[in-house]
Amino acid sequence: MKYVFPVLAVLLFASAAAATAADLAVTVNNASGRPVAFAVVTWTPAGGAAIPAAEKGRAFVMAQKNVQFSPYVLAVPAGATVAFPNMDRVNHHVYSFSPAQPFQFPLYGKGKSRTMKFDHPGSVALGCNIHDSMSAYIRVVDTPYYATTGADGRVTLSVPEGAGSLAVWHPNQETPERQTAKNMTVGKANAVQTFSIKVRQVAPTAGQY
Amino acid sequence: MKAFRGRMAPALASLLLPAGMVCVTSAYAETSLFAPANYTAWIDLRLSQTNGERGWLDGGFGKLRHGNEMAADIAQAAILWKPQLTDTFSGYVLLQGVSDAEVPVGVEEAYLQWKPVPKSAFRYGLRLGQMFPPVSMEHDGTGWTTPRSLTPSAINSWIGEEVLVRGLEVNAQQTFAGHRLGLTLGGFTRDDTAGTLLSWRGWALHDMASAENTRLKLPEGEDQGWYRIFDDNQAPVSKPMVELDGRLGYYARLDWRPPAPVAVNLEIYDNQGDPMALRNGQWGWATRFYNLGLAWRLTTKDEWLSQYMTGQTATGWPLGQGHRVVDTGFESAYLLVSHRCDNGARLTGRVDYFAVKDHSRRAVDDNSETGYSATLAWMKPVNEYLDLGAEALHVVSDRPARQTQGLEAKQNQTQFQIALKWHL
Repeated sequence: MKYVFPVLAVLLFASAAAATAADLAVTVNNASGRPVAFAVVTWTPAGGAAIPAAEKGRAFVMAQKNVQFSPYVLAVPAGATVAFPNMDRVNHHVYSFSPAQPFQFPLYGKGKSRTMKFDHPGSVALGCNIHDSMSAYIRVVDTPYYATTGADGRVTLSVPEGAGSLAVWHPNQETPERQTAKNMTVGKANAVQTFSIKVRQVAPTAGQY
Repeated sequence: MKAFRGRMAPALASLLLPAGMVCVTSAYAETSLFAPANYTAWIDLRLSQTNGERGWLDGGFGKLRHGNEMAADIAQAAILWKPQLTDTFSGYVLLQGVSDAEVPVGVEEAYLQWKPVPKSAFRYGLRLGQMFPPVSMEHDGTGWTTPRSLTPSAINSWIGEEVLVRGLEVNAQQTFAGHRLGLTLGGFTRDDTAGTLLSWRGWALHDMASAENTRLKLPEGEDQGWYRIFDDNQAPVSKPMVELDGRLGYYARLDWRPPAPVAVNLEIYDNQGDPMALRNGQWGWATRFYNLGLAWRLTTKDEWLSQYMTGQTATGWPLGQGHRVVDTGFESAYLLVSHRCDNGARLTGRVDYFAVKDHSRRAVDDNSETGYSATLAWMKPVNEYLDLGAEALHVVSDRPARQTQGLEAKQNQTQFQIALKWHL
């Protein structure tokens, strides 16, 4: 006997107004002109933008290796699931008390992993209850157009032409919400957008044991 | 219906099984006593070449781990056991073996720790047991080791040898307008002889940390101040972990981490020792010190560490004018700069200054000294199992008491060390 379950299929038509994509290059420097790594750059179209399921379904990883989180900053779209594999010989106890998503993964050891879905846009500061010097951030964004700067402080986003908001978030930026944003319109060809942000050096962890 | 039941069973099972596995996993996570993750072990093999005077471990006044010798030692073989009793309650026991120590095997730190998971920026915790008070900024390696150099500063070498306590420590931290403030309070027993070595031998630079049963050798000979004053009432070895007077000691530490790349701490320690307490050749010493620590992150790869310590210690009967028969003031400071190379190695330079002022009976027991040292260390983690270290240390010091052993008061010494540290 064959069991047939009703399946509701919803067909989504691509919007007739689907804009053509354009490259938007962004450079993030600090006050003294040096490139800033771990800055999350987002483009939010004026009318908003839905995050495709494929983007949410990508594999996002916040590893624990050499008693540090890796990477220091991980940007994910709202609705994404992040894996937290422990690659150290020692146990870790990952937690966050950030309002965007308070959670904890009680002690787990080498080769084990935990996962967490991040639904709410905002920033999630991570800690390890065993190792006070471990620190990292997950930035949950509400747009499919985002990237994190590397050591060269640069990213290039592929975004739809039109008006919107370009924002740079960094965990140690000296602004409210740790973010700097500007409104602009993206055309076919765009000049490199340069942000000069004030990034605070974090306190040293030497002597914590 | 039967078919339906037949389908439900696996469905239920598939629902319950992961739930059961979650329970098992979390139960495992909560209590883990003897799993591989609860153990760390290492063996630190050391080759050293040192010139100059006889080392203090051999009964001399030498300032370093070795003196006038080439040596191969097990600098430290250690098993560190960290049982996890619950998610927030853990144990810590370090059993060590040190081949050139007077008593080679012993339990160094051993305590219970409670660390609740923070629900806000406020956090707190406690430690109960045998531990070094949180003075050293250099000992942030696994098992109270120094990841930046082989030899710690004079200040923290002394913490390692004479400031091991048994007590209860509570700590709390909170953030106020971007400033992180911390308070640590400790009450302890034992450690009544702290100051013995610092007075009669003086400051030293070495990485031997004390254990519960440690004995530390005093300078040898009947011309020594300790012998001329106390005769056979003072044993030729000091035991740092004895309790002689039944009094509680205390320490308090303030931490300040402003919204800048610096961290500052200030600490007071007082063992409230009874200077007239005497048992089995061990005198009680009234020892108090203040320690100021500064860490500064110069760049993402360079850090600056500094500590300044000043204090006084005294034992024996009063002589008037507030002084006792053995009565010294001590101070020391260091500046350390450490650079992390791209290949993971660390290059560290440190300059130490140290001094002891003697306030009484200098004609028979002169404990005054001044000295400086310069240390250059290279530490390289090769892989998961092996760390390499190399260090050169030069120390210059002036201590009149050396004349009791027929030496010039002023001595200098250079030590080269190579370390192979295997993580088992």
